Order: sequence, then C-alpha cells, then structure tokens
Amino acid sequence: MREEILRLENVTRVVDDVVLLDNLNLHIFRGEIMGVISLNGYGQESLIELISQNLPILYGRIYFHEELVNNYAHSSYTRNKVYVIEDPTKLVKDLSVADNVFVLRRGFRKYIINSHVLNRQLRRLMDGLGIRIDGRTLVEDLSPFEKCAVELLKAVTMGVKLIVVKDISNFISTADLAKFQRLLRHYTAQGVSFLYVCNHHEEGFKICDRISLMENGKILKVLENSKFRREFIKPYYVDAFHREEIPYKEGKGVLRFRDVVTDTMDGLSFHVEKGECVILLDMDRTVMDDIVRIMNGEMSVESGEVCVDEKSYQVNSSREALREGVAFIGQYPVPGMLFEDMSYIENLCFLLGEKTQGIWSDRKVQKSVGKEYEPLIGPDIHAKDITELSLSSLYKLVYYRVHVYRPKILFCVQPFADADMPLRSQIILLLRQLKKKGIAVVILATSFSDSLMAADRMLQVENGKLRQEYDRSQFYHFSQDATVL
Amino acid sequence: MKKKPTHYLSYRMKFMSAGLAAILLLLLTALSFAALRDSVFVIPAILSWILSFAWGYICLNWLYRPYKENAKVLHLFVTGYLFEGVFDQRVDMNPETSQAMDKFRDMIKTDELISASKKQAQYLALQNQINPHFLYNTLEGIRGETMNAGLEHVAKMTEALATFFRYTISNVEHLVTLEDELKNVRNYYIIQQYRFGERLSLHIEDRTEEEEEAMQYRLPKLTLQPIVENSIFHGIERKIGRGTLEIKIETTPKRLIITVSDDGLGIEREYLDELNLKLNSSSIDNVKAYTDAKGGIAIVNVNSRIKLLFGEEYGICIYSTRNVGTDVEITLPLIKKDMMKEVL
Repeated sequence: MREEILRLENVTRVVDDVVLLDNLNLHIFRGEIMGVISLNGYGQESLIELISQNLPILYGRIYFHEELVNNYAHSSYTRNKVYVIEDPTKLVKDLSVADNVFVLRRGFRKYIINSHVLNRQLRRLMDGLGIRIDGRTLVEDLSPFEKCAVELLKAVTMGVKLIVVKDISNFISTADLAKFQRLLRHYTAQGVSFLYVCNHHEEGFKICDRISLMENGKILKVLENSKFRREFIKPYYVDAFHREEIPYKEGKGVLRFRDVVTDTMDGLSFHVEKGECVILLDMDRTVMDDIVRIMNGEMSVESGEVCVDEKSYQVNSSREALREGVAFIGQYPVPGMLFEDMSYIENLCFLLGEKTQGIWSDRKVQKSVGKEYEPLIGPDIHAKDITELSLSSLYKLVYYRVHVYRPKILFCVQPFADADMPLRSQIILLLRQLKKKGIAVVILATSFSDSLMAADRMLQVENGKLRQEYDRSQFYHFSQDATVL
Repeated sequence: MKKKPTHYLSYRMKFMSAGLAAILLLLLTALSFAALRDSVFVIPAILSWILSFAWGYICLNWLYRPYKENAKVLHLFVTGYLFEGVFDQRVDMNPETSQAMDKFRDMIKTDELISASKKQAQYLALQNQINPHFLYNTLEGIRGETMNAGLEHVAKMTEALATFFRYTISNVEHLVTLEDELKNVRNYYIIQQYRFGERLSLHIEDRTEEEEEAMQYRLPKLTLQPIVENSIFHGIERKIGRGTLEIKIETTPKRLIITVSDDGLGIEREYLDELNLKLNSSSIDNVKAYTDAKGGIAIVNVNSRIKLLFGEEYGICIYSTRNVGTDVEITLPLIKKDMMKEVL
C-alpha cells in the first residue's frame, strides 16, 4: 500500500476566462519522483502555483496526505507544505548558507543564534549527502549546483514532503545535474516526493519514476518507468525525429580557437567547418560566457589566437562582429532580440543594414525578401504587430533573420533552454535550415537537451580545456542522456 | 420567463448593503472633514475609518465569499458537474434552508439512486434479453457434446463462455472481490483470444505490497470487463498488428486505483473531451441502458455507478492519444469485506 502525498482530481482552473488547467488528474506517491513535461509549456506554472497555494478552482479537489485541502466549493488561500526549487533561487544572497537553511524558516523562534551550533548541524546534514559547503559561506558565492543543494537541504529541514524541481537543467551543468539527481534519490529513500518539471524527456527518463505528459493544461499520458523509451515519446514529438543528413566540407575551418588562454580557458583549441553544427558542451559552465565575450569584442585573449576564415579575429563590438560574419542568438531571444515596434518583415531584414547602410528599410528589398521567405515562414511574415504572434512564429523570425543575413558563424547560447517540446522540434528544424545555407553553427550549452539531433560534432570542454571530441558516429555513447538520431 | 433582478433576495441584499455602505462612507467623510477643520475628534475619526475597513474585511470573509461559493456550487449543480456536493455547502442561508436541503437529500438519495444503479447493472446483464438458465444449460450441453467428439478447443471456449455468462448475469447488484473481477476479465480474454489469436495479449500487474489482501478488496460487479471490452473493440480491433492490454492495480490507504491501458487506435481529441465531461458530470440521466452503440457508453455507465455508490470523488478518468493508446483510470474507495454494510 503506497501513501499518496498529493492528489489532484479533475482540477479545472480558470483565470480571467482563460482555462489554465483543464480536468487535470495527477497523483504522487510517497518517495516518488513524478515528472511533468509540458508539450507546449501551457499550464505548467499554474500547476505549480496551485500545488503551492490553495487558490480558487472552478472544479475538482486537491488532497495532501489524503486530506482535502482545496475544492471547488471552498479555497482557503492557505499555503501547502511544498518547496519549489527554481531559478532565480529563493535563498537570500547576502546571508550565509547556515542562516538560509536554519534561520529563515517558519517556526524558528530562537532569539540568540549560535552560529557554531548551526554550522555543526549543517555539516552533519551535508556529510549524509556527501557534499561539502561551509555553513559560513555567503549564498552569492555558491555555484548554481551548491545553491540547489542548499535549497534542497532547506526544504528537507523545513519538513517539506513534496518538493517541486523546476527546469533545473537550464541553470546547472550536465555533470552537476547528475550529482543533483543523486541527492534527489537520497531523499526519496527517506520518503520525500518530488515533482520534477522539465522540458526534455531524456532528462526526465533518467530520474523520474513516472512522467506525466501535459498539453493545454491537461494530462495526455502518464508514462510508467518501464515505458521510458523513445518509441513511446515519439508520437508526441513528430518532426524532430526525421533526421536529414546535411553534409559539410572539411577544410581549414571557418572558426579556429588555437591555445586560447583567459581567466577561465586554459589553452582551449578547436575548429568549426563551414556549414557544420558543433555543440560545445561546457561541463562546468565556465567558458561559455567568455567565448561569447571574446567573439563580440567585450574581452580579449591573454594568449593564443582566434581566427575566422583563417584571419586573426579582433573586434570591438558585436556590430563589428556581425560585419565580420559572426552572429549570436542569446539564451532567451524572444522578446530580447526583437523590436516590438517594427513589423515582421522589418525585423527580418534588420541585420541586412550591417551589410549596406539603410538597405533593411528599402521597400523593394523587403518585398523581395518577403517573396523568398513566405513559403518558409507562412502568412505571419505580413504581420505588422509582432506582439500578437505566437512564440513559435517569433522564434522563426529570430532564426530566419540570421538566415537572411547569412553570417559565417552563428553562436547559439542554450537554444533549448525553457523551450517546450514543439518549440524544440522547431528549433532543430531551423538550425538545419541554417546549416543548409552553409552557416557554421556553434551551440554553447551546459546540457545536451536536443542539440545532438542537429549537431555533427560535439566538443566536451572541462576546466577550460577541450576534454573530448565526438563525431556523429560516436553519439550513441550519449543515448542514455539525450535523443540521438 | 426571465425574472427581474429584484425578484431575487440576493439582489435586494446587495442593493441594500451598497446603500448602507454609501451612507456610512458619507458620514465618515463628513466626520473626517469636520475633525480636520476643527481639530476635534481626530482620533475617533481615524478609529472609525480603521473599524470600517476591518468591518468591510470581515463582511468579505463572512458574507461575500461564502455567498459566492454557494452560488458557484449551485451553478456547478445546474451545469451537471455536481450532484452530491450541493447538499454539503460550507455555510447555509438559514436553518430552514439547511433542513430543507437535508430533507430533499433524504427524499432522493440512497434508495432511489442505489436502485437506479442496480437497475443499470441489470440492464447491463440483460441487454441481450436472454434467459440465463436456458443459456447455461445449452452451453453446458454443447460443451459435453464437443468433449465427446474430441474437440477440445471448442469445449474450452464453450466453458469460458458459460462461465462468463454465469458471472455476468447472476447477482449483478453485489460488490465482488477484485479477484473475481480479474478472473472474469481473464475468462473474457480467453473468449476473445479465439477471435484475435496472438494479436491480443493481456498483462495484469499488481503493484500492491500485499497481493492476497488486495485481491479481497471490493468493487461493483462488472466494473472492469466493460472497460476491457471497450478497449478491445474501439482500440485494438481496428488496429493493424498486435495489441496489448494492461491492467495495473495500486492501492493507497484510502483508495484502490485500477488502470486499464491499451495501445490501440486511441480516441479523437474532441470525443475524448466530450467523454471526460460526461464522466465528470454525475447526473442521474447517465444511469441508463446500453441503447447507444457508440463507444464509451459502457465507461460512462460504470462511472455513474461508482459515483452513485461511493461519491463524486471516485470514478473514471480517461487519457488517450490518437494512434498511441488509451488509459482508463478507475478510482474506488478501499472496501474490505467487513465494511460492505456501511457502504451499501
């Protein structure tokens, strides 16, 4: 007989006439890790909100430890004993780890705080987990993994029996993710349950006991551990599984890093070919930001050389970088990289201005680009107000803008972070389009996510050095961690 | 005919409260102005404002919110979402309304609903208008003849059919053990195997820690078989290739959760939404005979029986995706043999 920690029964939640959760059923047992993957990102936030607090619902019932805490007839607005680990952290950055874990919690009533006692208690807790963090360290000095571990400790110390872990692979590295998942397992053995919210099925497969696939605020399917195979997820993930082989020519490399040394790089060397898609997996999340800074001129190398098209690369700004054929797509390109007061076609042509002054606003150019790209983009290309368009359409705009500009190299920072399943499929297709046009794509990431489906080569970087290089034929090594085609 | 708003007491109350609040605010403002101008009664004026806000807050929690909750429950009742819930309101209008609702519940509840449920179960059994004893005897006769003729397969099939009919037709209104229900499903599977052969397979997975005890939990007779039948005929039959049926049993301290899954054709999104809506609304209208041939009616009927017998928090929920399969999750209270009298 398994104890049920949480049960949501036929829950329908409507806010401002928008149905956020639609007849949702979900139950989590004691010591279980239940995954939630939203196929279109819809309802995920609302679900977490409703689990944390008993907010009004249109219909349904919610039980915690088999006690009815919220129902259609009465919602008390009280908070449930649930902790959410997410980015940004809930820890107070200016306080020490021990203060965050023990002092900042409900029920702590001591007026005189003995920091030695707290540190000793914290050490005892950490010893059980096999991690070492000094209780006196300020939270702002912790790594993302350490922050998550401290939050986990805090939640457990508070006596929370259900912890929500939200999109954790977006802010901790692959190596740390494995360590964090070990911590989760440690606590499930002690009866703590987890709701593991993620965007990628391979990540969920590795840690969850069951996974609920969610779309439009309702559960489509609950996958049991025995069904954690690609064939069961494939029907929900249509286009991305068709791999199209787009060859590239090996040559002297359109981009070359030769023994580059900075604060974080320790003689990093690699090269990227024209039309090649390379994933640079930053195992300890140290070099990613520096690579972007070097490429957009914000930072220079201490020693070594960066070459683009066999010429030494030195720029002073990202505009100059663009003129040299180096483009960037940031981690959250929408809406950050778009101009909301400009039409779709103006946004699409905008980068062309770097090639010839003012050309992007030329009606004839816009008409010609519109004609060429309408079959690829669809009728949205004529939109005057881009704020009314779907997220998917805006992502198309960001990627096709690079396609129109045709740089030599594109750097994509964590392109799959925060993207739901259909959006990830679309990003893969867009990356393939860029490859087809001969643009070299460098994906800077801390986890595989779906990158391997688009990549030709993977470079593993650790401690500022290239640790290992894998080509497509060797990707099967990672079939446990990522979708490989 | 649409009634005027003033016909309703709630409207009159709102109107009167708003008037009262307006007068109060007017008086308070006048008092405050006077207090500020003459610098007298400043503290009483401030206190009056604080008390007014506190009073307003209490009114919100004591009057307005419960009133809105009651209105919402009644709306859910009218739209078919609720049946029992309407009798369990958190706050009542007055003792007379509460007593009237109790009386109303007594009038329609137990006997009538349970007899409706039993009636539905009997319909379930008698849908073919057959005489049970005649059928058993005939099937036993056929079995004997085929055994004599050495047709072992036909004999086994006839035996399975006779056992199936005996279980289906007798004492349909009773709660039976999970073991009996699963036995009947296995028997039904044997009959279907003669038709589907290796195309159909059945797996029963018991995830409870004490299997023997779990098998003794009670549930309404013929809860599982109609769902399995639906899965075969609407899911697996029209599918090309093999089909698998899985029955998974789980228990919590209060619930028995049975999931029947198939990897058949799945249900169209629109029809699935319609079906889940029907499963949520526990109207007595759903307790009816199998007159509609469209798939899913059996599930709706089984769901209505569960809700009528055990309450709205139990019942069936369906998850399905086209070309992937369907999962039917049945949630029942955990009933042991000694608890049966309390339930019925």
